[in-house]
Amino acid sequence: MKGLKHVISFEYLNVVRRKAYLFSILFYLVLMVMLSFLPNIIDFFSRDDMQINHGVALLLDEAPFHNMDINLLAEYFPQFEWKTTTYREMEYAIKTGQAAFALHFTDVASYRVIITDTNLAPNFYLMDLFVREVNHRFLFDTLNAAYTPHMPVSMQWYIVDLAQEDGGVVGDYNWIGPAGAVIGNVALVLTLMAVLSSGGGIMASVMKEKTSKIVELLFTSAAPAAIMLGKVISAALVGLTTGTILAGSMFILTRFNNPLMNLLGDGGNLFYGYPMVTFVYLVVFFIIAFVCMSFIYAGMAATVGDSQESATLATLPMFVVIGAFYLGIMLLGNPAFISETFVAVISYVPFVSPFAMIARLNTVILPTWEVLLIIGLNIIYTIGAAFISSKIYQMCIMLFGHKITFRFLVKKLVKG
Amino acid sequence: MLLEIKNINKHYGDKHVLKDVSFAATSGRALGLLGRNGHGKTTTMKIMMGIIYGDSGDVLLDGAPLAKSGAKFGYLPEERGLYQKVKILDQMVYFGKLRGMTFAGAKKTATELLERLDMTEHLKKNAETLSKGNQQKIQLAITLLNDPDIIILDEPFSGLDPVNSKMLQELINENTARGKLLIFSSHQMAQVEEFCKDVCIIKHGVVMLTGSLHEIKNSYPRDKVLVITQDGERHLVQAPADGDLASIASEYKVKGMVVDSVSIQRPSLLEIFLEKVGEDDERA
Repeated sequence: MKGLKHVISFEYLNVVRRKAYLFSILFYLVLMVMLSFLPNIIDFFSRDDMQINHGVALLLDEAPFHNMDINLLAEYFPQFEWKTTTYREMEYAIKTGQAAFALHFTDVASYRVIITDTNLAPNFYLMDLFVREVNHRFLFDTLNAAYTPHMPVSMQWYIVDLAQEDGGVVGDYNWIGPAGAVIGNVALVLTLMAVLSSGGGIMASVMKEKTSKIVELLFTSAAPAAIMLGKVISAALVGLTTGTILAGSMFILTRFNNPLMNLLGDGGNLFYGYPMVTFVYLVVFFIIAFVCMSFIYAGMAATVGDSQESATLATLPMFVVIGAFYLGIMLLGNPAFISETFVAVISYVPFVSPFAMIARLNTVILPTWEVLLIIGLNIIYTIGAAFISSKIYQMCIMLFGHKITFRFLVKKLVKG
Repeated sequence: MLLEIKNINKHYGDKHVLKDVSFAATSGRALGLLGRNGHGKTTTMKIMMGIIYGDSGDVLLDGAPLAKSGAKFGYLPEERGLYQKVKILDQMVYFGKLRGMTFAGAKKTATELLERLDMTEHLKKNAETLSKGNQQKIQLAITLLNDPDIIILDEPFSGLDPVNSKMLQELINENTARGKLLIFSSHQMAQVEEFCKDVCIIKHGVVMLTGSLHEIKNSYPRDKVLVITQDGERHLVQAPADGDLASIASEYKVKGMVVDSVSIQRPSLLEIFLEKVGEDDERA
């Protein structure tokens, strides 16, 4: 396509060479380093109050548990000194660091257990270890992170449902592991931020060119489709550049026995038990979400006359994206609250599919054929979005003077 | 090359802004597209350049559709637009590459053009730091960057000071001398008259007059006489019906004035323009 590569390189360099971009990257890097040492800082200020005793584990004997008593736990976890406790005692012990962690079996039927530890943070490693050691496995839809109303807000409680081997509830699905919740949430937030910021950027860029009439010079120099495609691809490249820099920096930070990573498990291995192929899928869905929505935003920007109008119009896809984001967060947060079938259906729907898939991929291990099928469908959706948006972009600028209505656009698109 | 605009029609909503607009321009002759504001000059140019669609009609280059001709275009839009936060040289190279030039070629030509336009010192400045006139010169340089076969300039003189206007005139003359096909719109009749061989006057989207400026002027009755007195006063008076110019001098003598010269005047472009579009009744 004539001029495409020049549009891509110009638009890309136009962003990454800017001081604002370089400063924002620097800001994120500094923030990341600061956050990674946050536990050390908290620990430094609370050192006098806390006397951590990692040797003690507590079992809150509030509800009966038919085959797992304190002796069994002691047998499975000989490294801990097990004590039964009351709710209030447990709260105090955890808060003051007198116990390493506590188990709270709240529900006989589903063997629900609450695990917390003295770091006041989720301890996925302990959860995973616990499940493995007692020869149980997680149900695919049973992880829930929630603050309990009974405990201080600063204490995080993780509720994990357990099933016995013969539970037969999970069907063919396997829960992806504790890291899925963290990685899934991070991936969803990053995707949402990338889609919204890049969408806004592309809208502004199209609007600026349209109102400043640069587009007239561009149209006499390159194909309209190349101009729009170039913008979207360059935005995707900027996103990938930013992501690579930040992910690379995070990777380097984790290599230094980073205290934040240590909270998540032994040796700070965030990806403990996490299938790497899923990580590749996440990158693919991130790019698809990013590119697909960028096309939508670019097409929309061409239809409007000023920035106020564009801001109003931008809320439409924003609602869709944020809705999909919350759906994903709900699934990751507590799959029991939302039907997996419902999310599975949603993951085939254009534009919301990437968000649903990012959540699903971090909840269960999906069959490869299904993931590839949805990736294929999303590629088709993206090509469709690119085609329609570039037509709209071209028409709305070339049909200057016409009142652009939805009906008018559809009529023109159908006519070709 | 012969560029023909044939029966172009265009509506903006319910308003019929171009009504069967037809005219032709040839290489080596500048064509001035004239008309009052909002009468369809810019729309005609945009349709010619393929920036907007016309409702009907054809734009042909040597008998074939212009869009498929492969000719190189240079277009200076009426509303100037540059990337405000991008260095001048960078955006010129960008537009050069979009038009098929190599990086080195675009950079070399851009540097030469900016030198020619006395803009070398602004090479590495962002567009936002330049004055309106200088931004216009940059746009003109972008227009001419790829040595276009067809050059279309929409109000190229607006906002330029006399020195820069002169510079632009030289560039236009130079390009027409090199056989380029040049069309431009302007409100400055004196300039158009100076270097346009063809004109097209549009009023309310209708071509009122088109053709060779010389022929148009010749077709007008020579009924005006310019009388210059010994005191340097210039009077434009009606020519006598019998063509006897000596009678005019006699009339002045009776009034106590000595006539230095009497000559028959052809109408100026301004007069022709005013005659064709001046008595505007603001009807659409």
